[in-house]
Formats: sequence, C-alpha cells, structure tokens
Amino acid sequence: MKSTVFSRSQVRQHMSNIIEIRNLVQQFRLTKGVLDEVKLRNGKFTRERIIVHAVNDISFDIEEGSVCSLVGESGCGKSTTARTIIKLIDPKSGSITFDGNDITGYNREQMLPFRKEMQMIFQDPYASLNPRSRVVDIIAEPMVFHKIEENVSRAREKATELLRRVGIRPEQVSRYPHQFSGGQRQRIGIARALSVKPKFIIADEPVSALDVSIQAQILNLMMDLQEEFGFSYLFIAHNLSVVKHISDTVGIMYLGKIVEMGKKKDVFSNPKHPYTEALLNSIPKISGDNLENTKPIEGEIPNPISLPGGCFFHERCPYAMPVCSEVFPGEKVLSGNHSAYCHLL
Amino acid sequence: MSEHEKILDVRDLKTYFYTHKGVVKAVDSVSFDLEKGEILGIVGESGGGKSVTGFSVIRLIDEPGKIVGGQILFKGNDLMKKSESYMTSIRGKEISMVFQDPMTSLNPVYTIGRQLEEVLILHDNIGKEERRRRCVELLNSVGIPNAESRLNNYPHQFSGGMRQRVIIAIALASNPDLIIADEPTTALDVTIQAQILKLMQQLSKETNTALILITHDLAVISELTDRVNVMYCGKIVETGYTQEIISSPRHPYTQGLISSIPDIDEDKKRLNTIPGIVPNMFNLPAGCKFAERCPYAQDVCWEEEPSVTKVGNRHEVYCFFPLTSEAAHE
Repeated sequence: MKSTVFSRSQVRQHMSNIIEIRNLVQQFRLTKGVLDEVKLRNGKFTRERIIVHAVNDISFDIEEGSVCSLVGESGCGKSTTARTIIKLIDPKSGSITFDGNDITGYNREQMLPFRKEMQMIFQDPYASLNPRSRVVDIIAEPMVFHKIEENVSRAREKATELLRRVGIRPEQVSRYPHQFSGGQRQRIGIARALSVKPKFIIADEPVSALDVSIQAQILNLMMDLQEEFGFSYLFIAHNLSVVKHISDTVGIMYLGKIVEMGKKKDVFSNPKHPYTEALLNSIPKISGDNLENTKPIEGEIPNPISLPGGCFFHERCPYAMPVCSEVFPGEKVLSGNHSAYCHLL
Repeated sequence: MSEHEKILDVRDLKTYFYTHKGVVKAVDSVSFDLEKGEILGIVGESGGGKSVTGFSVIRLIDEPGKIVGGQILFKGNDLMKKSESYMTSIRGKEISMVFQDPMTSLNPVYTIGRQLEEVLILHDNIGKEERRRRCVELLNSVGIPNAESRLNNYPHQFSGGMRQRVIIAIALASNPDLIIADEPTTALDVTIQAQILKLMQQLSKETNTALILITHDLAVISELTDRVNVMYCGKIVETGYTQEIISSPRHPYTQGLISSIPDIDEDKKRLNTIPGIVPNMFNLPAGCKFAERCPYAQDVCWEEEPSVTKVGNRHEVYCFFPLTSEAAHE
C-alpha cells in the first residue's frame, strides 16, 4: 500500500495525466465511393461528400486517479470521443497519449498490450454480455487472454472472488447472463472491466438504463472500486445530477466541441458558457422549482453534417452577438483548470 | 364546486395478467381520484404498475391481461360497465394518451396533417376548411413553427422533440377532459424535455385539462405535478400533495427513492440506497411487498398487508409504521 502511494506521488511530479487528448477530430463519411458522391446540380455534375462532423478539435487531460466526465445531449459526440480515445475507431486527426505513450497511430497489434490497461463499461448490460457464456467464464476469459492468470481454473477462482466483490454471490457465478437482473448484469460488466486490472476505465452511460434505486447502488459500487483500485474514469453521461455526483472534472460538449471544462464545483456553481447555463436551467430538480423559475432555451441541436458558422451554439444562444455567427470563440482560461469557449468572456 | 369537480375516480382497480408462468398482479387494489385541471403523477420503478394503471383507465389492456375488478368512474360513469364501442368513442376524444416513444406512435406513411385531421374527423363534426384551420391552430399551440407548411410533412421530417409536440397536439385536438401521458419525455434530451414539460403544464392549466403523468423520474414529478401516487409492486404505497411527499415522505420506499437520487444542489459523499431488488412479480411476498427491502420492517410486515393510514390532508400511506418527519433520518 505504502509503495503505491509513493510511486503515485512520484509519478505526479513528472506526469500526472493518464490521458492527454490534443486537437482530436473524428468524422464519418456517409457517402460511399465516388458514384454515391456525384450529383447533378443545375445541369452540372458536382461531387458532394456528406460528412458527419462528430468530434471537432477537442483537447483535454485526465489526471491519474480522477474521474472526468463528458456531458451533453444526444449527438454531441461524447460517445464517439470515448470510442476514439480507446481506439475502437481511428481518429481523423489529433493525438491521443495514454500513460505517456502516443497511441494515435498504433495498429491492432501495437494496441494489444494497452487493451488491458484501458477497459470499457457499456450502457446496455443486456447487450454487452455473451448470452451463451457462464458469468464466471465471461470474467475469467480476459484474464487468461491477457495472461494475468496462468490457467483457467486459477482465473475462475479469481473471477469468483471479483464477482463477490461487486456483489454477485459465489453460488450464482455459473449462471448465464439472462438469469440476472439489469443491475446485476451491470455489476458483471464492471467485474469484467476490472478483471484485467486496468489503469483507465471508460464508462459509457453505465447507469442510464437502470432504475433509480439500482442506479444508486451501481454508482456507489463504482466509486468504492475506484477508491480501492485507484484507476481513472472517463464517465460519459447525459444526466447532470449523476455527473455532478461522481466527477472530479467535467467537460460540457455541444456539437462535437467541449464548450466548457473545469473542476466540478467551478462548472456547476459558476457556469460560464451559456450552453452550460441552459443545461443547468433545464434539469428537473427534486426541489421542484427549477423549471418554474427558468426559461428553457429554444430550438434544437443543429445537424452535425452542416455545422453552423462561428460559434456552434449561436443559433440558440440568448446572448448571441453579431461576432458569434462569424468567428468561433477561442479558449478563455478563467481560473486554474476552468476554461470556456465564448465571446462573452 | 366546479373548481374541484372530480373528473376521475378509480376505486379498487385490479388488473391481472394470466400468463403460462402464473398470475401477475400488475395493479392490485388501486384507488385514486383526479380533479379538473389537476396534474397527478404516478411514480415508481419498472414493474411497479404505473403504466398498466394508466392503460387500465382507458381499458386498453390486451390479453393475457384483464381488469378483474374495481370501478373507473369517469365524469360519474363507470367505464367498467360500458361497451367496447362506447370506449372507442371516448378514447382520443374525452381521454387521450401521449406515449413515451414519439418515433413509433406516429404513422410513418401519413402526413402530420392527415393524422391530426383524423382525430377531428372521428370526433368532431366540422367541415374541411374548418378542420384545416384547427390543425394549424393546434400546431401553433404546441410551438411548432411554420405550422401551415409543416402539416404536409411526414413524421420522419420532424425531430424527436417536434414529434412529441405533434403527439401532444393530436392528444389536445378534441379538447379532452383527461390526458394520460406515459413517460412523455423519457426519450428526449434534457433541454427538449424542459421545453415539453413546460408546454404540457401550461396547456393543462390553460385548458383546465386533467393530466396523469406517469414517470420514473421523481424530479419531473416534483417539477410538474400537484399530487402524486407512489407505486410499488402494483400497489400505491403513498399518495398526497407532491411537495409534502417530497419534503416529508412517510413510506420507507418513498424515502428510499428520494434519497437514492443524486441531487444537483447538494453534495453527498455516498448515495443512500434501497438494498436488494424489486421482488419477482410471480411470487410476491405475503405481507407488505416492500418488507424485504425495508430497514424498519417488523414481524407484522411480513405477515399482513398494511392498510391505509391518513397522515395529513389527502396524504395517505400504506405502512404499519409510517415515518414521522423527525424519525425519517434514523
């Protein structure tokens, strides 16, 4: 225990970021091949590519041992960002540094040793577990594959232990996924991510499919495990109350851009970007007086195929000025790690 | 009197599902009422019976489900005694529904205008031009811009939030007395959810339409509703004025639900949880359904079903040992 504390503080002096993202861009082409792109316009043939601009030049760091969240509405690029960081999809441009290694250009083989360092927990616990595999084998398989345990029987033992840690009793471990409830399945998904002792876990909407009482159980479990094992989280979610509860730092995303980022308390108690403000005004609160006293922002998220000029938020922004429709605002550092992209600042 | 006119009075409603695995008592002896212009919330977790309660009120229960008992008094008439054709005549006219999924509740092959008009053709006796005018008016009232031209669009040309607005317009088309909304904003993003919730609240109050809002989200309940029924395993465990229930819940389940939600205004180190999971609906415990998850359960809770205790003005709780406001923290 002591040695880990020592080595971590040592690490902190040199390089305390587990993830460093610089100018990350991700796009998807909807048109397939030249034939699909040639269109007849005003009697002339022109070539038109339809491109979804999912992630548009974002940079951020995740400190070792911390919980970083990306929040935003559907289509804002938060899940695509997560999948790109873990290299499930190759980025269009920009760089991804994991634990000091620039993994941007790594191929499948080069990624292999990093796969066990970065794990993922998915939203849908129904779809992310193999229905034909016993739960104990679902957990033991990655241990054997990554040679963390030398043989299957030893891996099964470890798997049973790990499952017990997340709240699945030993007599339940040879059951199949369909015999578990949604909350239990998410526990199994968490155990699978932990099975290879990762340094970094991406959790993509891990509790949004669960009932509130179960959601609380899973959130507590995720926090306890992080304290116990000391890994870092990238947490993807749309529920701001959940994000506020679990995170150290928060990034607010809109149309593939991080519009505001900072320590949780700065972003939530002192929001600087009008979109952050609008999001906070839109949350139904248990106190019951949030929607009554605020005006919801109008309009909807623009289409990521044809991005608006200037600030992406200007069409919906109640404070928009002429400059907002022309120039994309630069980063304004407000204090420490708190920064936002807005002409008002 | 007309201010507090009772529009709906459900008494001892029982809806059971007879499956090959056994009988599921999805709604078991549920009673509640609703006044004109009032917004009633029904909240609970999945399997609590909230949606089945909503569907039972308009008798939209399919095989193997069956409403096996109770009365549904709508404007004084017991709907249980009415024929199916009578029910068809009031569904969509006097009682209309808004569903969770705006993608599937509109017909993809007809224009929005046609689908709106259909309600007017079925339930109102007005001419073609008058109908068109009314359609435009309806779309305007739910905040859809360029209503005139939007009428000719198909559902896929609308976004999720806009589709839900269209559905609300359809629900309002025949000036119903009661709207049942089943998770109307669950599929929507938070800024769009805020728009739709405000719209529904405003329309309900403006037109004095009673609204039953079914949701799993206590925060939505707190923002929107006047009164609330908290359901667990097919039963109402607590009912009362929303703000009173949120600030001083008397049933341990309600208290558990409220404290397990992360509150954006308050920092908690850990969330309180309700231990365990919802019991199997095929094999419900004999006494109080919540006993096995309840921190305060005693012997009697396992043996007998609790009856109703009145703890305040229209505030009722089904519990042998209702929490007092002070003891709620122990």
